[in-house]
Amino acid sequence: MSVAAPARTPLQQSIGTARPDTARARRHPSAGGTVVYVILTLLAIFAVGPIVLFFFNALKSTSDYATSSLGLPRTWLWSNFATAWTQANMGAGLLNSTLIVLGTVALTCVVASLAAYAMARLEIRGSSGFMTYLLIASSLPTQMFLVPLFYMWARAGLYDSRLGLVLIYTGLFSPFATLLLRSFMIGLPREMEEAARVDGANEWRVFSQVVLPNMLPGILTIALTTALSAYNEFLFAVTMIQTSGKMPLSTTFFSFQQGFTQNYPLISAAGFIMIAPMLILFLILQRRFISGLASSGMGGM
Amino acid sequence: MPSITRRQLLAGGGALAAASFLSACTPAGSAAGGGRAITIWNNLADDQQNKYFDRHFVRSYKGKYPAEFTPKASNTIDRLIQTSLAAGAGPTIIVTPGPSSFVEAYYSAGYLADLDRYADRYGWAKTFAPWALAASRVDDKLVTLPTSYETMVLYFNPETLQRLGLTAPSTREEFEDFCAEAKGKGTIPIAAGNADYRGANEWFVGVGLNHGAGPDAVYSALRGETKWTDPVFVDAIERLASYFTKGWFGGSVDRYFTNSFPTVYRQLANGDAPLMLSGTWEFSNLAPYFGKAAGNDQTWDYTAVPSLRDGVPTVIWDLAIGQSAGVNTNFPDEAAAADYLNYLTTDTANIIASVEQMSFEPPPIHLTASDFSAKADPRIVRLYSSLSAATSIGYTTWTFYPQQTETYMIDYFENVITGQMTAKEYCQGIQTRFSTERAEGRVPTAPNPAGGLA
Amino acid sequence: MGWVFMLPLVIVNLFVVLIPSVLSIVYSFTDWSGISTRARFVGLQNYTTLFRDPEFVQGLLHNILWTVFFLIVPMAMGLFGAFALSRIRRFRLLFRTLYFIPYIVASVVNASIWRSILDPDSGVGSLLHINPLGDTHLALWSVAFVNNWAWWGFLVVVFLAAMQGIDPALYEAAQMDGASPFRQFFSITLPGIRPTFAFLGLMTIIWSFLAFDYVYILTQGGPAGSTDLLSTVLYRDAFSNLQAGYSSAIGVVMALISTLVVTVYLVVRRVRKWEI
Repeated sequence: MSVAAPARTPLQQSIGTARPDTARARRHPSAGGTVVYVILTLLAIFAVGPIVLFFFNALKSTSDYATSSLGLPRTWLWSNFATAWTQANMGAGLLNSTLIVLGTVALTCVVASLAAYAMARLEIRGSSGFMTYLLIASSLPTQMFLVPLFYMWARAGLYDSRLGLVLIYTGLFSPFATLLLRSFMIGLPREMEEAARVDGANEWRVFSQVVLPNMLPGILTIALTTALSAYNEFLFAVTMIQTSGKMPLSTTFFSFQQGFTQNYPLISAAGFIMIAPMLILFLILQRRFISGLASSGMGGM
Repeated sequence: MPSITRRQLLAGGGALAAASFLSACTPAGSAAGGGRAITIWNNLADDQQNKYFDRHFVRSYKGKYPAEFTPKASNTIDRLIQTSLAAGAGPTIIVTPGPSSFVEAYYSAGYLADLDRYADRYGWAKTFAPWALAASRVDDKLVTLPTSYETMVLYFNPETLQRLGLTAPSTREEFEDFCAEAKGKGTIPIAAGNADYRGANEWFVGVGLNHGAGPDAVYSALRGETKWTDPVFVDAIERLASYFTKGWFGGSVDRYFTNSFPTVYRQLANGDAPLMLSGTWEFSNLAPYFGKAAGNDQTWDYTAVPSLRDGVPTVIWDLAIGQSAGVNTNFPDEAAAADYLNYLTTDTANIIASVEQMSFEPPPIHLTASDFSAKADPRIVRLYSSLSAATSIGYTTWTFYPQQTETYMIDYFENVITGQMTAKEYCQGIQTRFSTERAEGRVPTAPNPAGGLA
Repeated sequence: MGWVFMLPLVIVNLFVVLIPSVLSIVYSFTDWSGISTRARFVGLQNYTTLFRDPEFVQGLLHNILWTVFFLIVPMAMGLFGAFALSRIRRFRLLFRTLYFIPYIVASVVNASIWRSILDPDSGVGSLLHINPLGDTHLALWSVAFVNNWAWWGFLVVVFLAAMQGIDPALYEAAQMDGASPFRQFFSITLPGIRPTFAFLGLMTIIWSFLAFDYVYILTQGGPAGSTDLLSTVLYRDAFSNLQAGYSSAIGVVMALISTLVVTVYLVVRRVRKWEI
């Protein structure tokens, strides 16, 4: 369950020159190349077109939308964003989402990096069995947990609390994050740790002063993937948070869309406001995002 | 079979330690209201209605404790209430979508307080229509009060009818001719859709049975005297399904599944559909699509649902309690909560004002045309005078049928109109569930069909 | 000592995953309604009922169809996209970024985007004269299509990363021999990414049996049960039908399916000695 090479390697290669491609392209500047580009472009339109259309719809008036839901806006109603922002109460939603996401990310990173360190470096018994358990734990139907979790959380006073949601998210996302981080750690050199141990440092010092700084890129990766999952999650959010003032954006948007507010341009505007923060974060940090998710998909767990 | 409580269940699998650890963090039952307020969750159509409800039915309450309102979405409120009740929390006032759904389950699980002693104190027997209180009893105990009262009607757009040269039908023959002709002229005969709420299926099934088999037959079946597999029901369902497959409801069966409510209202308003078959709850929902609010000069009106079988009366008012409300037993001051419930459902002046201003559905308290002021919408005044003069009534599924039967009727009607199940099989399914639930005493009490509403 | 570092993970996992799972197993042997304070042990009754329940059987069948769809369509798109990207010189990063964007959009928003596009009155449905979400023959595939839109770009990224780990010398040698790109794909690329391919196949099967969000948001399992999956049947039984015990049995069966798939994968991997 580990990647032989550090998760970063393939992408560093991709950034560097890929020799066979260039060689090939020079030899055959052919029609085949054009066809490939055409297909790739069509796929790109398939991927991004709906989002662009969604953005256009967010700028339409309702009558404009009713006559053409697949075209350009006739007048660009930027005020829809402001209206959606207030009507759907997205300011509070964004604040709550931020708190919940940051809380989840912080806790998950702490929990996962400690456990990953133990699993990758400290020869603990039952480690491989535990990894199998984590793999299974992250493939269980979470709807099944709703009833018992609700019961336990209400007893503990964690129901209708953002902290309660953060704890659930940490529980749900940390197995995956741990596996990811463990495989990242296995790719790191051990010499510095050994040297520190020889110098008499205890495991905590080795971890906090030697390992942690080296782990930072891996931690940033799991922080991003966890943030994405926590930000987009809605089943537990809609179940565990009752007070509208505490609801994260996924729930705010869901209820705004489900309510009888059938003003599609406003729904689109609210939806666009919801995806904007992740879109921006992704575009800024995309290399880290992609490398993390890519290694998770390559069996980096 | 050994019997176990939920706490013991929780103890299973070594969870007891976990639960007590978690309980130690906060005193159990804190959700019952440390600041002590009467809490109510409700699902209203939009923000404007929420604000009105909050101002005039919640904040306006001057009792021992203040009341607090949290709006919820229609399609999540029941699940949210269930999970919170199971967890020993939940709002003070528990609402359900009518007496059929969840009331019996909540009561037998001990979440709903017995309200009989308050019935005497507040004189509810005089305030409410007797049929509505009778339907609100479980094990012969009053456990909820009806907060809204509704019936099914046939909506029409007078201008569209005029354009098509048609008049609203009142018999089966007229109805079938009307639909065939309207369809032939390129319109959708009846605007309908269940995309926003799957439960809409039962509105039509209820109409199909009450008006297509007749209230006498339905009453007899609800009392267990006739089986649901009787040909009178099978025929009624078969005819109703054929109306769907002919595309009379919503344009086609697949469109019926994807038409949202706003689409339905728009079709009625812009002349795409001359008719709409729905409940009186639409009074408040239709307003934004007609007249000045919508920037058009269209109007809507309504009439009784037509008879769909020879020999069934042409004017039958289907009785429905749209929402029931009870008191959560975990609220420490039951009397105070009952007092709020009394305020919510019996403050006549307040209720009349909400009907006039917001077209809210009133509770089934005795209202007549004379209770309304001159400002009231004449269509609403006419409704309450028609209802109080009713001589024949029908039975909606969400008021008079037991829960599992109702759920089955909603879910599997889709199989009938998509041709995956015959009307006979559907009726057999109803009968199987109904007879089980009847044996368990879960069928709400229904009034006599010719008894009127007084 | 190592377990001290593991403790936070173990504790949080205990409360959020392990205890609820164990409770679900316990519930699955009872007739608990989900709200009642009492329940009876009914032994294996819930499990024996399952396979006679047409909704469960239909849900299971739809999950299998869903799995087949996700093993074919996004896998093919992902492999094609990644292979094409690995062989072009310009715009590779741009394409990769664009393909990946739908993956980061929340499912609630995705559903809203596609509900509008698929609308039979104003969207693509009106152009093609179809009603993708309302027609019982199309609905399951339409929901899968929407889910796939958000998914395939992820596969491109993963496959591309895996393909870039293949030794370039292999391709150079193949080119010397005059192998077509088609040949190269099957004889070098595919074997070269086999561990990744197998892993994603495994995850596809697991995630296909857990699929829930898109169906819940777009169709709630309708029309006429044509999009019901095990997860939506489970959800409806727990919350609309007040059969928490029975719905837990569905959950346990789903968990067993996942466990079985994981086990088969781990065994195969050990036997074949894949280095991942």
